[in-house]
Amino acid sequence: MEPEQKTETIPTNITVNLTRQAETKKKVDLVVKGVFFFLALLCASIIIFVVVFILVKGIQPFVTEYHSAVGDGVGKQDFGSFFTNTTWNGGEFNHGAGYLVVNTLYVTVLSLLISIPVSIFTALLITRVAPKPIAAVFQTGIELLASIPSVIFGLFGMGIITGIVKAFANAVGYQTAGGSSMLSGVLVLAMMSIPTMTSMSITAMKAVNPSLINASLALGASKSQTDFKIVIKDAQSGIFAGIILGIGRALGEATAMQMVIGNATGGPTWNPLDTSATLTTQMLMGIGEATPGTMGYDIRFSAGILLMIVILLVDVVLNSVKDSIYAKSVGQPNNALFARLYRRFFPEGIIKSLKRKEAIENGRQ
Amino acid sequence: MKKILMSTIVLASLSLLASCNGTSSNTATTPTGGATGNTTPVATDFDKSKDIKPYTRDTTSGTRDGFCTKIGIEDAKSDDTLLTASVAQTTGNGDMMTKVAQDEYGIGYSSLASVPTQDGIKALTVDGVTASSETVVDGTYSLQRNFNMVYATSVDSTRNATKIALIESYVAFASSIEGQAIIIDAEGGIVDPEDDFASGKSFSDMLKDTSLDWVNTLGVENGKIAGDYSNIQVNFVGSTSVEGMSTALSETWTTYFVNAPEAAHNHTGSGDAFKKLNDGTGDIGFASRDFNATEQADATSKSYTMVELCKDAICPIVNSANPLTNITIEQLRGIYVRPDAIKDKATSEENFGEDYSDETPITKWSQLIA
Repeated sequence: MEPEQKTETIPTNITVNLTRQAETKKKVDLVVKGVFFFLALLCASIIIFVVVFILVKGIQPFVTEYHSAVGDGVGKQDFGSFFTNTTWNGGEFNHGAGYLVVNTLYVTVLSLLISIPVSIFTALLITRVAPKPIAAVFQTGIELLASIPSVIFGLFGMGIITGIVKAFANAVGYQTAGGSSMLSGVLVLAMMSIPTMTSMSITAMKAVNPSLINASLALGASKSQTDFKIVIKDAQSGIFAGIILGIGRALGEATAMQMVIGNATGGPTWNPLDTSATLTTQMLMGIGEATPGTMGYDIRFSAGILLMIVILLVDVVLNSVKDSIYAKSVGQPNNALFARLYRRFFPEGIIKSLKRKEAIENGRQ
Repeated sequence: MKKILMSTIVLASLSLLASCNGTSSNTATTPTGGATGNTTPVATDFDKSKDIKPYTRDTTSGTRDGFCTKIGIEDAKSDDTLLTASVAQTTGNGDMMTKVAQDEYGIGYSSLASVPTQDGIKALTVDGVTASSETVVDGTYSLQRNFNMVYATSVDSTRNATKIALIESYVAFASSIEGQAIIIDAEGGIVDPEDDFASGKSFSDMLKDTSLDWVNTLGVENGKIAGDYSNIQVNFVGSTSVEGMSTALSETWTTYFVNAPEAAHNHTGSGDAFKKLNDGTGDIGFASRDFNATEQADATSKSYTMVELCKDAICPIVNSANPLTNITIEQLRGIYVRPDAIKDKATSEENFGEDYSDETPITKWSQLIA
């Protein structure tokens, strides 16, 4: 009976006030919700606008006839040869970008070979090995590095890295184009993606449950055994997220790459000491002088579509790998996209029944 | 463990620092001078047996257009498959010179005006002729191109009489003593003193000359064009190579107005000079090449006037360490053209309209230096 009595003792004007306040709050919530919804819509629509714009522009070279910018003819880009040509600019109406995709992925993979170990070990040093003051200095340095604009990396690459690469190539008896080469590009890319990857790895390693580490140490594992087998392993999902961000930066980098990679006219290039070109460097090449409305201008958008597809695919694959790593680490069934696709196309049931069939047939023989 | 790791890190960083030091002092003493800039290049250990590394501008460049046309491989201006596979693209005049300054075995080409601004490179003579104002004007230096200007002279749907008068005043300024000084001194253009375009008159004197239509239309008071033209836009279009020159001219030209019109520079390439004049988005067009037959016919039918603003020389450039001093047009072709493109008479004629099949591809410096 007591609680009922309490409610009755509250004066009516207060309850009215409370209801009013609640109503105002609801209204405010509604307005805020609306504003947020609008902002989210704006952001999302920017993406849609960009993608649609690039798509519409990029499809033009394949479907419309272009007037020549230098002569009198007209022409359009052949769809198939856009993928098979081994020179970007094989005449006004004959471009090729397939080899650029290969170059882009190759350069990115090479840069990852450098940046992944460097970032993981740097993060390990900062979180686990170095004394706190030193670690703090290192971490600040890494964070500062992440904020350096790419053109500065490009200038550094042009001034210093190409010189080092040139000296290295001379030492091994190979002649480079003044040090401008794929290797220089790879080094610049690695330098640019290391800060992002390291920062993410640090966050992931700091989040490792200390009781896991203590348990490992208590069981007699050495400190380095604990670092490699417990800390890195437990943080691998976060480290992988960092790697994905790093790859994103590597795939999309244009300015710094263009300054050091040598900008070959054709490809693909396999020798790291030769000049190369990526999708982004080639899109940027001569953009300032290209005439809007000509094939030479619009074909850059076609390369843009290709780049977006490459980035999308790489992202899907990597995120799927990340999800499987996470699923494996927490002992859950793997529900990553690729695992699901794999199960759909190769269901264990079918494989088992096939094997059983084979076994039966073998038995008969 | 910690101590070992820490000391390894310290050692590693020390050795890194040391190696950095080593390389930077190396760059300071090597003849490239690319990174350090002001080192005096010395032609010492140039290895003739090395490959030639040719550098080119990309296909949108007017300089590349001029270079390819003048060495007889015109179609290569927009087709990289006709150039040797080892060619590396550069993003501009400056990038071209930096890259050649960094590469002892490189060769490139650049506008004469910009060559002296870069250390570590030198211009080659072409067929024994040094590029200079005199040799370009008398025609003995063959790697040259014209900077041309085309402008509307009659009233039409997009240009009224005032606009035409403004255009004419700009052209008059370019031809005046003041304008010529900008073209020659500030922008490094080469002008033939016998040329009809240079009027030999001062622009201030022209403004006093009431026999000129545009002076009467625009109205001059106290040596300045008096009317209010601030709401009129004069559009400059065409070649990006001529952009610097046309901008420098228009900047000084507008100082002769009390209320100057807006000089809008929108340079997108030589090919657009006529295109934009025709669609009315351009009033004065520039081209870093000669106008082709179609454009000349266009000019006659629409009563545009075409003038040669000035000439420019394109210089083959090599690293200062290179002992080579002279090169021939045929040698340049041998360096830049893809051997496949001239492998036999038919292919060569199909690609370039000439038979270069008996010319040898040049890939090593020893083929040029005795």
